[in-house]
Amino acid sequence: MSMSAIRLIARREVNDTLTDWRILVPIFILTFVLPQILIAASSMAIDFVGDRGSIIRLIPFAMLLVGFVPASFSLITALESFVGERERNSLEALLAMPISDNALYLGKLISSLIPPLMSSFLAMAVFGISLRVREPDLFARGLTFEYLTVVLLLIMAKAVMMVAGAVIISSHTTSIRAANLLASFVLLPTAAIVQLEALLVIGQRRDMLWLSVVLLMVIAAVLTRTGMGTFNREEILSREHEQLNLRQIATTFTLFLREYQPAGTPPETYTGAPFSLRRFYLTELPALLREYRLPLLVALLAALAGAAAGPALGGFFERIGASPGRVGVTPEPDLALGIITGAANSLRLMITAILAIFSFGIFSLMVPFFAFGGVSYVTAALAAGGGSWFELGPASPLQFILGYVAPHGLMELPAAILGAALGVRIGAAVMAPPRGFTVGQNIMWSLAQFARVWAFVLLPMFLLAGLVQQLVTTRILAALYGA
Amino acid sequence: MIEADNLHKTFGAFHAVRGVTLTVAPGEVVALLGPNGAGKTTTVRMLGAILKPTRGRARVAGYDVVEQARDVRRVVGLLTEFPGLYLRMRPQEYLHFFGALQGMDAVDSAHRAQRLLQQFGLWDARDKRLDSFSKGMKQKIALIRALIHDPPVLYLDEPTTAMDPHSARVVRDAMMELRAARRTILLTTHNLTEAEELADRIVIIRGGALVAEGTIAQLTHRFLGMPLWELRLAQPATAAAPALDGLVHVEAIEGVSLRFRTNDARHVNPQIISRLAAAGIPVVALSEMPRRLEDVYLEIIAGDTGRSGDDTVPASGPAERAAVTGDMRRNDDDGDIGLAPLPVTASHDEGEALP
Repeated sequence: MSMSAIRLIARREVNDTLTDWRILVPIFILTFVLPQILIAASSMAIDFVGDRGSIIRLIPFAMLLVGFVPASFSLITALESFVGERERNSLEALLAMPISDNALYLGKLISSLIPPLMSSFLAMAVFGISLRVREPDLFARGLTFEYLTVVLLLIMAKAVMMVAGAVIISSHTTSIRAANLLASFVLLPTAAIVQLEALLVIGQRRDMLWLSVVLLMVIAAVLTRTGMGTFNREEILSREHEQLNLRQIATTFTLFLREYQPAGTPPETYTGAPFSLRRFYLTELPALLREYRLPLLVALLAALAGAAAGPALGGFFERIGASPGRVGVTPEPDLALGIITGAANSLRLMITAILAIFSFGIFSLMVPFFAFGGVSYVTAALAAGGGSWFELGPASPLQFILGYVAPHGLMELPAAILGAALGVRIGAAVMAPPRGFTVGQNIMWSLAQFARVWAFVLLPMFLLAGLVQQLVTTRILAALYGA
Repeated sequence: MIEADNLHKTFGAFHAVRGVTLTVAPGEVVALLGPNGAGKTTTVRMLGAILKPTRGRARVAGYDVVEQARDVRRVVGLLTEFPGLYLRMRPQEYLHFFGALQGMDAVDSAHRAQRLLQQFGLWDARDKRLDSFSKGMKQKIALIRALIHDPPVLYLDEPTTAMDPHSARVVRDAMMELRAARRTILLTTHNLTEAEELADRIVIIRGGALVAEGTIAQLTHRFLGMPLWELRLAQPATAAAPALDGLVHVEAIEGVSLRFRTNDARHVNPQIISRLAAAGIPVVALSEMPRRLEDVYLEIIAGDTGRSGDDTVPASGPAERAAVTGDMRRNDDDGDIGLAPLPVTASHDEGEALP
């Protein structure tokens, strides 16, 4: 990847932006006028409320707002980065240059970030200096170095996140209009994040703000990686010929459902063999599990992370927190409940898999995380209450695991990990399609694998686990804890 | 310089290019013709390493378009169908930007930009922003962009579109110069006169497949048949027909004109003149009927012809349909007989020639 190409593209785009008065005028207003308005509003609020102490909390929020609003302009430049050039017919000449796709992508990404971020930092400086001059007391008490750092990082992370998302949209749409419509996928989550940050700022939860910084940076990195993974000049130009062909989508999905071939195998090279349950269990499932080694490892790590974080989970989640109080309760066997439990668990996995598409697989990882986290919390609580890991007894963590977890958990927990791995693969499908697949084909392929494994492995495992839970676990519990 | 072997490109279910095989020799100018949506641009994009072939291989200047895509892009200058300029830039900074992306240093790119701007008559406009340029000027800038890194291979997509006649002439002259400088040029155009003027060879694509390929003379012969000659007499031509029996294939007679076909004008035409002179029939003129590339193109595009490389001339005889017009009478006699040359000759390669 050529740094000079990135620099050249970014510089040209920045120059282009900075010579466009339609962008310059609003940026100027947001940079120089908005801070003054907010300072004036703060002064009015002090006069109105008459309590400087309560207004102090609004100052950091105002700083956040002053920084975020100009930064949000990056969305506009990023959204039209590729699709705008395509509409102006200038893209092909650029694509014909001897530069890599990554250089092209990063050049566009950086150029979309620089003017709004500069404007954002300038606006924050204007706000800080103006506040220092006009309200030195508010400045000294409201803004600390740590807080300024957090705000700066939050704004940068959000800007990268928005721009990365917008560039992905821009490179996957055929008109600015379509890109603007799809921008809501970036705008709505960002708006929600800003509201959450506002609450944290006003509530002075700096620990959570730092956590937000980390999370936003991870999301920004994932989105940037996704953009780089999915961006290629081939797809941009191919979109001219693309039409939504539901029949073809259905045909491809059916093909992936019927027959397993490794990801990236072009659909036209499939044998077209009908689905065979025997072939699925004997050859396709083992091959799929081999191909899913990495997602399985990620799911396993999520389970281990849940087990490690378990002792702290009870403090955040009431339901988990109440679990130790139910140890010793032995329910009556109920066959119908077992089936419902199995079906509900299967359905839960299905829902998280669908949500995985929009969350890069994070929702799927929550299943093993909380399953192992819950067990870990109860065992930790029992151990903390004096229960022994090496002896059986009503307060023993060992007895809890043997009684409440092991009988049906031997099926349920591996199924949760496998389901999570399938979901992670669905989430990752957007980020890095293998050679030979488009993003759409990759998503369809991973959804098809999920559907096959869900129907013929996960559903039976969960139903069986539900039945074991009712027919076996209850009896073991009765024996261990008494009826 | 350009070798494409069985190139295919599909976009989902849409088959844009089907098995295009073509070769362009160094210094050759090849015109790629075809109706809109025929697959010309997709072919050019594959040869420019912008799109990857779904199947097949191609090499440009020795570089594989898939494996060595960046090298291919370095040796190719691409003039896109639409100029697509960055309109807030000035010509020199615009050209410097693309020169730099091609790896040129600032001094080289400045010198080359200056030379090209002067050659295309844009030097005086160097300080104006590109958004103030006329369509023709923008097209010239786009052409200069393609030439800035002095590439050995040029893909020119509609180079004179939207230009006034003078500007188009300037661009065509520039292309003639490039041709003289032994640049390899793949020219995509709907302007058949331009193709006739500039191209050494014509390749015609229809429905994504290559349907005809050859020099203009070869294509004309293949699709319009043997050269058609018109003899104008000082008296009704019906009287002349018997004198030509056994010598040529008389296609049509109308008033004082008579048309026949021959591949061997050098030998046949002097004999015709001799026979008519001997029969006391005065000849006013003998000339080859002009046959334009447009006729060939329309014949190929409208007809149901086979693929390139298939030397079969369509059985329906499009040549006859193209050549014989009006109420001229058809004559199916075969009369292409070679005889000893006489001084008064005209070859179809030499265009019109009168006795």
